Amino acid sequence: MDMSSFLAALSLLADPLTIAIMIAATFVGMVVGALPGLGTVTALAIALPLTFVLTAPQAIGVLLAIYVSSVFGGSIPALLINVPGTPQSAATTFDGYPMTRKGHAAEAIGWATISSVIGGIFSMIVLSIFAPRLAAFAVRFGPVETFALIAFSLTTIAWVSRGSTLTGLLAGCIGVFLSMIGADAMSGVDRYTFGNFALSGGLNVVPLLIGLFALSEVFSTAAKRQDQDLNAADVRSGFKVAPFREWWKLRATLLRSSVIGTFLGILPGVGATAASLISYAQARASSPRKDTFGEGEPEGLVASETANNAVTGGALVPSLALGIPGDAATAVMLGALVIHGITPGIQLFNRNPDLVSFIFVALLFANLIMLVVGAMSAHVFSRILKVPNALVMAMIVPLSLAGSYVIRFSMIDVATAIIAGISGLILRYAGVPLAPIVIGFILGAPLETSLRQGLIITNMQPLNFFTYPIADVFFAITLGVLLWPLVKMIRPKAVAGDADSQSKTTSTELEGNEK
Amino acid sequence: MKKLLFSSALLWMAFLATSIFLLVSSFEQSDATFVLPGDAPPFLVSQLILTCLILLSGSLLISRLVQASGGLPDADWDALAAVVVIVCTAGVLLKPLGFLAVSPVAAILTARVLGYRNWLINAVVAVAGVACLYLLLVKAARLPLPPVPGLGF
Repeated sequence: MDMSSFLAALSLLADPLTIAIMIAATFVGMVVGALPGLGTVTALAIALPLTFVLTAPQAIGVLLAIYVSSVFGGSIPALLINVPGTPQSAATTFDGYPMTRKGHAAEAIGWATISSVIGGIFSMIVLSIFAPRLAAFAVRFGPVETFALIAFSLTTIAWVSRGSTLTGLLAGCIGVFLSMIGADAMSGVDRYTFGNFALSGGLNVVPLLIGLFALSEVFSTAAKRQDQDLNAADVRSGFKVAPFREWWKLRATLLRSSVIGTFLGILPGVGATAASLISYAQARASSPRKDTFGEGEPEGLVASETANNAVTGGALVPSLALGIPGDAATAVMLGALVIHGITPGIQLFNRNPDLVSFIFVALLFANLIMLVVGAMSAHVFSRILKVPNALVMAMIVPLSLAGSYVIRFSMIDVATAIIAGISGLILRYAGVPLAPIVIGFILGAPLETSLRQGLIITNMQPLNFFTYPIADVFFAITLGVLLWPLVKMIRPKAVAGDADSQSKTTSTELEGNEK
Repeated sequence: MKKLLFSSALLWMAFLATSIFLLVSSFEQSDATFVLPGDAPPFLVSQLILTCLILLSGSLLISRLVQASGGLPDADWDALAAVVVIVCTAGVLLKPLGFLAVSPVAAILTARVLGYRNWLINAVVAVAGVACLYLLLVKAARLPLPPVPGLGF
């Protein structure tokens, strides 16, 4: 990031409207993240259509603010009522809630807010250093390498998704297939439209997201039909920062958790939940106060919160540099960039350095706003948690209808959202993860284009794909990922024994802290 | 047998049948499509993906049949059906009746089905929320939503 693009980014950010809507988006992101059931992806999916009226930098700023703050927002109910607002905050309950029970809710929110900001800023620095270099390296990627990279990403995401590898792969394939409905970009031939002209334009990612994540959550809430209103009446929240010397004692944990979160964020599909759990387990293992973990130890809270927010910048590295989303949230961000006419990858870095710098600066700014908004609104968190869940879910219905309609002013998008919502609920019950569907949908078009271009340049000889060294590396890892379940079946005792002992250690550690 | 029928086996069967149908229809469409010599056919990748889907859903179906377990998950099916009907009806009526007429009713009914009993607050939140959304999208952002017939908004 050179000085001129940095100054240009600052001038874009200096727009009062941009700052105002980023502040509003931060608050909304925190609230949505704090409401159990909704989460980062739902917040982004609902907000995405509302950004169409904004300029590209404003839209990016809003979505970044929601992304960052909703991850942090999930920690609020985790701290105050022992219910993580988002899965990423599960580890936050281990020590955060015991602190609240001891009457230190304000301190817990202080620790969580500042460590989230530190993790977010660390990952932003890594993003600004590594994304341009990765994008520059990706210049060497032709169609074959691109195909190998996308195949690797989809396989990895399916592998690490919730549920079995088979269901993860199935979800990824569904997403890729859905992206092929409509007119073929290369030949113009209609595919799987069955004579329906409205489908010729293809399915749009926004109704798909709204249906899979927002409407299916409404349906899922109806199916659960339990009293989900949270009793936060007796909790008094606030914001209190520990003295600097207390923070200094935790510098190693802050650094380690930031590195873990950022690194796991860069890897496709691993995500913030795994990052915060691993970071927590690492902090506990290396802490001299490991006996106090689970009883309100700030170090455990700091480890979890730093890591889950450090994932945000890490996950944006492959998204911006290669156009490969690391998780469902960055898939939405990527979709938003494309809708606003921005194509991620080296072209973005070469042709629009000001916008790239703006993304870095906006991510930093979003973290700083989160600190201010978090501190100022801490006292209302317990009231927000008392909003009846039924009312929140009910308001998602008009938001979803309007959000899906305004994409192309077409009822086909409303129908897509409703069908995706019902399908999303069925798939949830069948244990199929939803994130790979979205990522498969986003990556479907580049996967197809690169494969077909690769076949043309290799004279329709697929075996010639293996003559490309960079592609070979990705193919080898993909094959390893696909064969791993077979290896486990062939060597059940050895592998399962290792895995069991490892998982037992981790689960014992975590279970011990969940009490 | 009944438990098995209502398990995810039914879903994998549906996936398998749909994938086979789509694959067969894609081969029929592909035969009718002209492709330049040396060009990659437009249905190639989708056929590969559909083949993967057939293999995956077949494997999942077999594993489910072998396990022979499952059954309907414990859920409030009446409430779920009611919300699905509300949302689908709202989607169908959105264009003919308009956003401002359909959305508040859908929101009020959904909240009611989800267990919120205070009609007044429910109505106020739904009407105010939809009005804010309308003002934001239609007036501020100039993104038209389906108008109420005869009223023009």
